[in-house]
Amino acid sequence: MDAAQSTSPELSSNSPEPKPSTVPTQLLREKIREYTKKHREAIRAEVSDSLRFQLGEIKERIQELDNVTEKDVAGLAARIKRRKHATIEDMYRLSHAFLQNVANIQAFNKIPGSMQVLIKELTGNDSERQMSAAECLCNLSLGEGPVCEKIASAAGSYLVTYLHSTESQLVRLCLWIIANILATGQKCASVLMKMQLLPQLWKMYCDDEIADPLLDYREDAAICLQLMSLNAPNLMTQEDRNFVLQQMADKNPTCVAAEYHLFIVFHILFTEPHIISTLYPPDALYLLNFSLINLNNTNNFLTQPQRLKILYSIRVLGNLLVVQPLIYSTLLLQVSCVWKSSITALLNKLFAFHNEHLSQEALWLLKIILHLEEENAFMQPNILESIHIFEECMPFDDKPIEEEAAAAMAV
Amino acid sequence: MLKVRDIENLLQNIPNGYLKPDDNLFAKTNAAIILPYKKLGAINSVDIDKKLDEPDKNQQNSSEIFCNVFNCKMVFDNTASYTLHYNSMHRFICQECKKSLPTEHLLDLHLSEIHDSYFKARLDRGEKLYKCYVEECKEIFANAIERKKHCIEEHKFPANFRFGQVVPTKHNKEESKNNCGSTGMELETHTDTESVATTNETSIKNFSFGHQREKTFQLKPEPKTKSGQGKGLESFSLLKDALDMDVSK
Repeated sequence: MDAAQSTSPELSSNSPEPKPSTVPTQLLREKIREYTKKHREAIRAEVSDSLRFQLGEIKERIQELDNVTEKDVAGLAARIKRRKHATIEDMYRLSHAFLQNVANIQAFNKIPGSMQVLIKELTGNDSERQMSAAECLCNLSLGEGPVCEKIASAAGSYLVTYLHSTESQLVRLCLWIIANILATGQKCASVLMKMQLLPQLWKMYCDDEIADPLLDYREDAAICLQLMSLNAPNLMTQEDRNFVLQQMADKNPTCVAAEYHLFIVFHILFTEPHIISTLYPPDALYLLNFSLINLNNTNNFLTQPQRLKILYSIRVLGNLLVVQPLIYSTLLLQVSCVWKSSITALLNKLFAFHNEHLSQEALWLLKIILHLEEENAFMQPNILESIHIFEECMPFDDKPIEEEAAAAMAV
Repeated sequence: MLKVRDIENLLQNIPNGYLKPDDNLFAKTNAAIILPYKKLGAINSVDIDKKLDEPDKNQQNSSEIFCNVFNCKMVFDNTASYTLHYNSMHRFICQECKKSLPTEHLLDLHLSEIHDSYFKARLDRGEKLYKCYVEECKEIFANAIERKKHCIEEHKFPANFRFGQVVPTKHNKEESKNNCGSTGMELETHTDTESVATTNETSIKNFSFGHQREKTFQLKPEPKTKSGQGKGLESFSLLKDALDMDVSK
C-alpha cells in the first residue's frame, strides 16, 4: 500500500489524464533489485551496470512482476507528449513496458510525437534523464522493423554522435541500440550506414589503448560490425570497403574481441575474389598469421568465440591460398618454423574436434592444399596418409565407405 | 579412421576453389554452429542500488558532492552520478559562451565557426571551411547551409539537428523561431549577443587567432581615452570596449 501511495500523488494531481498503470513503480523497483542481487552474485565478472534482457524475458526471470498493459503505455505516451517532457519515472516505466512484450512497443509507436519526446530527453541537459531516455530507446529497439526504422531516422544521428561521448554508459547504450537496429533489417540499417557508422565502429573496435576497463567498447563495437557485415554487406559503399582494407591490420590477434575480426573481414572483403587477389603482401601475411594464431592457440570447439576463431581461420586461409597460391610456401614455413608443427598436424587437430560441419570445411582446406602440392610440386610425402579423419565426425550421407559397404552387400 | 581412398572419395563431394561468404557450405555450418544474435534490452541496476542506499546516505550529509563548475549548483550523493553529470554537461564546454556540446568534434566546430575571427577572415577570402558534423566524413563546405543540406541528404540527419551550429544572422533567427513554433521542441540556436558581436567584429580587421579575448592581464587604457591623443586608435578601442560591454551583458 505504501508503494502505491508513493507513486500516486503525481498521478492523482492530474486527474483528467489517463492513469498510467496499476502497478506501483516501487514494486517494480523492488523486484528488479532482488533479481539484480542474485544476478550480480552469479556473474561477478560483469563490468557493466546494466542488466540485459530479451523481449519478454524479464517476465520469466522476475515472476512476480505484473504486466504493464498497452493501455498504460498509451497513457504514458500521451502524457509525455502533452507535457513535451518525460520524467525519469515515466521513462523507467516505459522501459519496463517495452521489455515485456511487443504489443507495448507498438502501442507506444502508435502515438505520434511520443518518440520525439524521448529524443528530446536524450539530447537534453539533464544527464540522468538522458540515460533513462537512452535506456528507453534501447528497449524500444526490441520492436519490429517499422519501430526500428523510426528510431534510426529520428535518433540515429544522435546515437552516432554520442559514440564519441566521454560518458561510458551512454556510449554503451548507444552501441546496444545500434546493434538492435542493425539486427532488425536492411531498411533501418541503411539509415545508420549512411552516417559513417562503419569507420567509427572500426576505430572503437581496434582501439587497444584503453585506460579504464569501463571505456572498453571493443566487444560491443565488434558485435555491431559483425551484424553489419552479416546483414548488410550490400549496403556498404566502396569507401567502406576501402577503409576496412586499409585498416584491416590494426587489430591485434591476442586482444579483446579478436574472435570477431576474421568474421568481419571475411564477410566484408571476401565477397569479391579480386579484392583478395590484389591484397598487398603485408596484408596477406597479416591474415595468414592471424589465422595461424587462431588455429594453433584454440584447443576446443565448444564456445562461440572458439568456433568463430577456427571456422573463419579455415575460410580465410582457404580462400587466400586459392587466389594467392604463392603464399603457400610462407604458410609451410610459418607452420614449421614458428609453430614447430606441420600442415598435416594442423589439419588433424581440426578433424579431432569431431564436428561434422567443421570437418567438411577442413576437407575443403585439405583439397586446396592438395591442389597446391600438385601444382607446385612441394611433394610433402603422403599427405593423405598422415590425415586422421574419424568416421563418426562425417555426415552419414557423405560417407563413401557406407556406400561402398552397401554396394558390396548388393553384389 | 578413414583410409586414403575414403578420404579421396570424400574430397570429391567437397566444392573446389574460392568460396564466397554466402556459399552453401559456409551457410550450412553457420546455421548449425554459430548462434544468431538476439536483440537485448537494458535496465540500469545502478539506479536501483542508489535508491536502496538512500536512507543511509541521508544520515551522512557529509558525503554530498558539489559540482565545482562555476554557476552549477548541482549536488550529488555519489561519485557515479557526479561523473555522469560532469561528463554530460561540462566535459566539452565553450569557455566563451558556456555552451555545452556532446563531443570534442562539435566543440571544435563551435569554437572555430562562432568564436574564431581568423576562421571568419578566411571565410571572407572564399575558403571552404565548414566541416561536416560527422567526424569521419571529410567533406568541407563553403557555408553552413550547404553543410546542413549535405548532412540531411547524405547522412540522413534530421532537419532540426540539435547540435548544429546556427550562423547568427537575422534570417536564421527568424527561421529558428518558426522552427520552435512548428515542432514544439526546444531547438538550440545560437542567438546570443556574443556571436552577433563577433560577426560585427569581422568588419573591423581585428585578428585574435582563436581567442576573442586575450587570456592575459590587461591594463585598461582608460587615461589614454580621456586624453585627446591618437583619435583613430581611441575610437577603435572605444568601439571594442563597447562591444565587450555588450558581451558581458
